[in-house]
Amino acid sequence: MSVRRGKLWSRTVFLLILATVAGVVLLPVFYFLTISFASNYEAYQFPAKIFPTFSYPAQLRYNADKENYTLLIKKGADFEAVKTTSDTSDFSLYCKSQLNVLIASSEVQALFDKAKGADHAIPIKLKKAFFRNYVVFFILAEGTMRALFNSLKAAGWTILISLVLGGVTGYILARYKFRFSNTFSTGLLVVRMFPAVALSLPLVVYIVRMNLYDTPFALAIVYSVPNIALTAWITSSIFKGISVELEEAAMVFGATRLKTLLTITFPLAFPAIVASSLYAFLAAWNDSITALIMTNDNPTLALLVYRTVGSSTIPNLPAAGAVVLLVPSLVFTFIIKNYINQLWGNVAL
Amino acid sequence: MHVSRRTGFFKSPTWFLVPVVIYYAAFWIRPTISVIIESFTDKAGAFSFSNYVRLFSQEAIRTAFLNTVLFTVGSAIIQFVLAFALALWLNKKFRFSNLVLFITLIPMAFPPAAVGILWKTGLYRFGWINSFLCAIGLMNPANPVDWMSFRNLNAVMLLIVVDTWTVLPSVMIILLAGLQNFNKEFEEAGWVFGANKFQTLKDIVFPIMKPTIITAMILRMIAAVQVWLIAVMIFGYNVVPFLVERIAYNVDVITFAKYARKDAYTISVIVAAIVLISVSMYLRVSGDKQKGGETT
Amino acid sequence: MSYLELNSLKKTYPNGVTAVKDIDLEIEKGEFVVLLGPSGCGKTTTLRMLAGLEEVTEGSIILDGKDITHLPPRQRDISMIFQSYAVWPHMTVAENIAYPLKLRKMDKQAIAAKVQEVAKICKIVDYLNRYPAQLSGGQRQRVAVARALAVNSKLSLMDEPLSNLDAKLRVSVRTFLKEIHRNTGATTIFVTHDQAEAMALADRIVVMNEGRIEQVGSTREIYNECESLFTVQFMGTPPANIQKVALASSQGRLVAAAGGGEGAMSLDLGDQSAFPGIERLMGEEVFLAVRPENIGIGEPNGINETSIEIVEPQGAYTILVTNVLGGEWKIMLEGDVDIRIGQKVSLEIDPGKVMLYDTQNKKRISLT
Repeated sequence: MSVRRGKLWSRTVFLLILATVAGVVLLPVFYFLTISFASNYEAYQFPAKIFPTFSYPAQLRYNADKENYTLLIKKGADFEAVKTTSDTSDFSLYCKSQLNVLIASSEVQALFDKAKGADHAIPIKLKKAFFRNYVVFFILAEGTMRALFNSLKAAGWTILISLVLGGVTGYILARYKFRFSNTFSTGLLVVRMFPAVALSLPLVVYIVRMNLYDTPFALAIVYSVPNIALTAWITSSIFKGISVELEEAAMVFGATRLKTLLTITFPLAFPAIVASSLYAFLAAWNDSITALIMTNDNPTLALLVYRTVGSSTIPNLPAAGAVVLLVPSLVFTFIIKNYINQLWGNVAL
Repeated sequence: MHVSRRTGFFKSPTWFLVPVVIYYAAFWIRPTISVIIESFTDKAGAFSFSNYVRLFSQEAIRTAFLNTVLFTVGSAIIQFVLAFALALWLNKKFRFSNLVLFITLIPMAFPPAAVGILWKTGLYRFGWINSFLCAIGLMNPANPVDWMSFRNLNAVMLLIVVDTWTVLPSVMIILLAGLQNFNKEFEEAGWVFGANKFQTLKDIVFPIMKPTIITAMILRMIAAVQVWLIAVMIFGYNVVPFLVERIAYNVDVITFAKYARKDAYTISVIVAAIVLISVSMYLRVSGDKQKGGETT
Repeated sequence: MSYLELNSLKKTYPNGVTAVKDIDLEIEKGEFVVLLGPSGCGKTTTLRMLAGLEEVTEGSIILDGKDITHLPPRQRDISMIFQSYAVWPHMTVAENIAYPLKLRKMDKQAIAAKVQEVAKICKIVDYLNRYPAQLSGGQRQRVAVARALAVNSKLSLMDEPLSNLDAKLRVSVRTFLKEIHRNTGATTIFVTHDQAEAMALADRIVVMNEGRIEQVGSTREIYNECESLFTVQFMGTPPANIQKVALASSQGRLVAAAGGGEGAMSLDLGDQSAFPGIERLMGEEVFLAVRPENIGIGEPNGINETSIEIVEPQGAYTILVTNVLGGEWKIMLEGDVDIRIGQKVSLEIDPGKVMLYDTQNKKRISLT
């Protein structure tokens, strides 16, 4: 029947689109996550794996002629020799730095003895320290935790400044028509047109004069410049979505303007306003360039990741940092998806 | 709806805008003016167009200008089409549509640094893109393509793809909000009165959605003209020059070169001018935005 | 074969909710049929299935001999007036009316002539170049009517088109719609939850409840010969007085008793001879329904004596509230009746208008 065929057809197209969308978004993300868990050895493998591994299928061979040992790791159908040594601590160090496998010299000795006893390569299992990259990046590397706190502080201040100044602006743009209101909202748009990178240079001078150089607060001041404008648009969209009559009702029943704002408008707008702070958060949390110019000894996490991308040829460590950078952003995105309509529904430039 | 209950000048609620105005005067207008002045003065501080003359004679700047235009136009068109299609699709409620919405929004959460790592690890000769293409049999593992060796137009197109992956959700989100506010009966009336799906989209949905589309596209164009970070993260400085990439190069790399600051400031003014001109041109072309009227 | 046939129409949404269960309906050419029912009864879903805006789960729709069950809306040759009017905001009034004609590939002059013609009928000639945002609700409504009128479709669908108008306008647009129907003779299906609208407009009313048809009939039949308890409850303002009672005979008169035992109350329904075949129901429990206008009052005479508790004068008629059989009953009298609160009266019930319903299947008990 043609109807059934039509239904099947549209169902197939639907699933195809679904698969494409999910694939295009998730495939890079999966590879990215896997890289963040990859050891240096794995990072050089091609083709790369899409899911992370937990251990290596490996063999240890005793070379009687040279009296040393060779570690072989499975690659495709064969085993590939990756390290040949006779020294247990050298072997242990290789495992730690290249394979993310933590194995003490004494354990290595035991393996060596076993391999020596056998006349062929013995199978061994090397268990990966799964979160090794994260441990190295965050705990062993100096300053990462401090950078994390700097990021949080900068993001917090940015949210505060943008919400207070942008929120007030948004409310007034939504509720009042004044002489320059159109000029004002166009002005907010123009703010975003000037490249932020260029403004950082003269701003550094003011920041130094204000004795704020190299502080998260100074970063927040700069981040807030475009974000106040964005917050103003979004909050004005939110406030436009809340009926004036609700406010008028409160005032009819004797509430002052401020009380109305605090007890009626603000609670109604609150969830959407929280969601709108996502944009301020993301701008501060994700920026690395302004931080590059504005900080010296107190980098943010994003800047740290940015720097490691530039300095290291193996991307697994910076990827681990980037994953941590990504987590709070994802949480915010998860929240924001329920407020799309309120945030952008009444935005008009 | 706008209410204006008190008209007295001092009681006007616009006084609450004073802090914002002060903030912008201090942290935006002041630096902007000093940037503009710097761009129109020579080293000695005298008024001159020498900065502009010097810049326009540079080959790199001309390439950067061309690349920026190509990138802006290309990404705006591709992203609008894809974002609108995606928004139309997501606006239909289906099972797990909320989950699918979240999945499509994930790239929005990626910090530029993460985007850089993500695509850098993907695009080099032994990266995950080639791994994937080999895995599904579209590429010979013995002879992988080195995407990072792309130059000129190919590189710009590659950057448009990467940029689209990253920013599509933020364009889509605005269009989706517009569609959610869109009165479904307008569309249904089109179908009932004889329009097919495409005609309904073209004659009814697009025109009514125009204010939303304009908002989304202006915000996107402003950001697209200022592209640079992904280019630098993937290719490094100087490989695919963009206007703002030139600014960053002057600010970040050759900081102490003789004309580094002057160049950075002058290009900023040029970029701002381009944004301003293209946005107003876009507004002119897309016509009177008031006519869209109410959508509910 | 009828002009429009709905055969065992069924609609189940993907989330498992069944909005329409088994609708069978035949409509003749030129009829004005109203689908009436409370919200959620499936009337709008049925209309949207007719329009092709909602997929049909089971059953078929035949229009003018052609199976249109699975055709897209544009191939059905229908017109529709929407609840929000759906007058496209980016087109002028003239463009709104012309757009469907353009899609039908009519030539330009014919379109212009048609636009003028329907605009004249709908009295919107002066607004042809305006945008909908510049029109009032009633004017937009007229544009929607004009647009539907212009296409000369096989079937005209209306989805609560009056619900967004204020009360006064609603009545005048109602008259206008009826006039248009009289002039064009277009087969029309009109959905509403307002019974006054339904009764004023319809050739036939289809009363719907919980996805099923309760009753199909003319206004008179639907109002006076309610086949189910639902219909009698739903139709009429104020609604019919309904009480669960036991029937008994007392000295040749039919008596309804409620409450039972000590506090038993009874109501004299009149001479038993007015209820032929009532004998088999003696002692049975039934639902008793009496419309407020079918009750009269007289001087207290020992039968059905009660006192008036509330008086609501409405100008053209007066509503009295009193306690009958332990329930609050309403009585509607013509004109402005001079009566005091607390006044003792005797109720006179028109035996011919008393309706009895089975307590099990809620259907009307036929007495003959």
